[in-house]
Amino acid sequence: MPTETIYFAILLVCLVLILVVGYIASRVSLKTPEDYFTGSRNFGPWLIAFTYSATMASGGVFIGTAGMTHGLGWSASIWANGIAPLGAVLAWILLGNRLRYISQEIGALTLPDIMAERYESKSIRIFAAVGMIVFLVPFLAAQIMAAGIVADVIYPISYRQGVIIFGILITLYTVIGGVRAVIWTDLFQGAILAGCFLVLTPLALARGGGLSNVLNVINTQYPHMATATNGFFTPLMIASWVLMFVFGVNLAMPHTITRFLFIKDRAVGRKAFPVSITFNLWVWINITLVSLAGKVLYPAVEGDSLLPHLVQDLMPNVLGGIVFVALIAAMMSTVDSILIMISSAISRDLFQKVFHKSASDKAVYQFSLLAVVIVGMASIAIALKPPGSILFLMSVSMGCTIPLFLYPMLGATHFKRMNSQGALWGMILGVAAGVLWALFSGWDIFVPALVSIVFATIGTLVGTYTAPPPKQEIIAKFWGTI
Amino acid sequence: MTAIFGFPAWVFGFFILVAAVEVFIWWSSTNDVFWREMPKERNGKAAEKV
Repeated sequence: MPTETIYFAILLVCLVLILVVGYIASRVSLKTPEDYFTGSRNFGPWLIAFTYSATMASGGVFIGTAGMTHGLGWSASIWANGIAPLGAVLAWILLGNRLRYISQEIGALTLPDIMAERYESKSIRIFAAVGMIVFLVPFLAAQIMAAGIVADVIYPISYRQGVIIFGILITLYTVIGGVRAVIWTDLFQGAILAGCFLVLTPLALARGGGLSNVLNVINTQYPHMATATNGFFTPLMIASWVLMFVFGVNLAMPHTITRFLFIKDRAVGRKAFPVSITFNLWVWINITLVSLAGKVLYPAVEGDSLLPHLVQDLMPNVLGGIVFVALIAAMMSTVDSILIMISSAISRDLFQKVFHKSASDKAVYQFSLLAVVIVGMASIAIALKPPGSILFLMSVSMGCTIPLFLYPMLGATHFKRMNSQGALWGMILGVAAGVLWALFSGWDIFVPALVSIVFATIGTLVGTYTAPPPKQEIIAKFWGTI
Repeated sequence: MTAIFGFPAWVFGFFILVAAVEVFIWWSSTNDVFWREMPKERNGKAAEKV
């Protein structure tokens, strides 16, 4: 049987298993928006840890980081990937317990729920919800595009077929099972992702002559791969990436920080935190070692195709098929989380809270299902006829999403003096800067986000200190004391 | 270039930072340092006891 067919058969088995998990999740009570969007916060620490980490680890970890590490060495490994779990530590410490408490205290199901309550502003809710829809649908499409490209390279299906299969499957299990299906499948997908390295890393290092030989070859034959700075990672670029990962992506990308709303109690959060960070560090160190071994084994291979090349060459067919499923799983776990979050922005934040306030829970629930289908189909449509490259879509999405949440969330959890004017001006200036910079100043993925953070900072500070502080009862509600 | 156990010295330094963070976060899971009760939660418990 051709290798491609074996890989595809293994993929199909895993996709069916994922659908079964989604179906089982749908059998648990799913009647209210709270069930659908938070799973009634009924998740243990492992589920919370894995949904956070698997959502954070997108397909780019495998393809992009492996490719960059193969080309640039340790600098890419650490500045483009290793620093991210450290940023996640900060997110758990700064936001974890606070968002858990606040979401339960005010009955928030979404981040715009929290923002609307904290800043007593319908405009902020609308801005955040519309911003999520506009800027995260392209992000979603970019992830599905990546899955399509991988399908085209590895499996006996075309890009178009890959986009349609993965897009429909993710939409299907998200519709039937809501956030419970998303979180349960994240555990399954995360386990495949973390588990595949138990075989892949030892095999790659053994074929490369052992760890010491791999390190020795890198140090002696590719000395530029051992340095902290190089032509790409200049000190300014390193500062940008560190700032972006530590403060931008981890503290502001809504699909990861929304996970804190699902934490049932302090005991769950306390146990989930170290598991989650360890998971991300495990993925980081393994992908680094595999990429360095790949450099020794295949110095001439083009970076992004390193992993497929390595797996096809080194691994028995069945194990190779499982590693490729891990790659697809990494993308799926990010896509499903974003998909359900955008649908919550449509059905909860716009439909229920703005346009149809008397809507019953049942109507909102039904509208949520429709929203997931619409968003899923829109992303598939964009991925089939993309307006730009994956890098461009990600660049604009991140640049414009981060200012929508970075300071408003810090204002809801730590910055008591912040008011609605500060939140709104920070969002407006940050988004405007992100859009303009992304459109007119090149496509570098992190620069638009960096610029948008700077402008959001200015807008937030000026808005906050030129207007009165928030009411005492808001402070009491969010901090439990004045 | 200085190498420690084959790793560039700066990479080894990063590993030490990561190891320290790992020890710290696992230690934190044994207590409430990052998961303290909010004042209202404490008050709620106090009221229940009364």
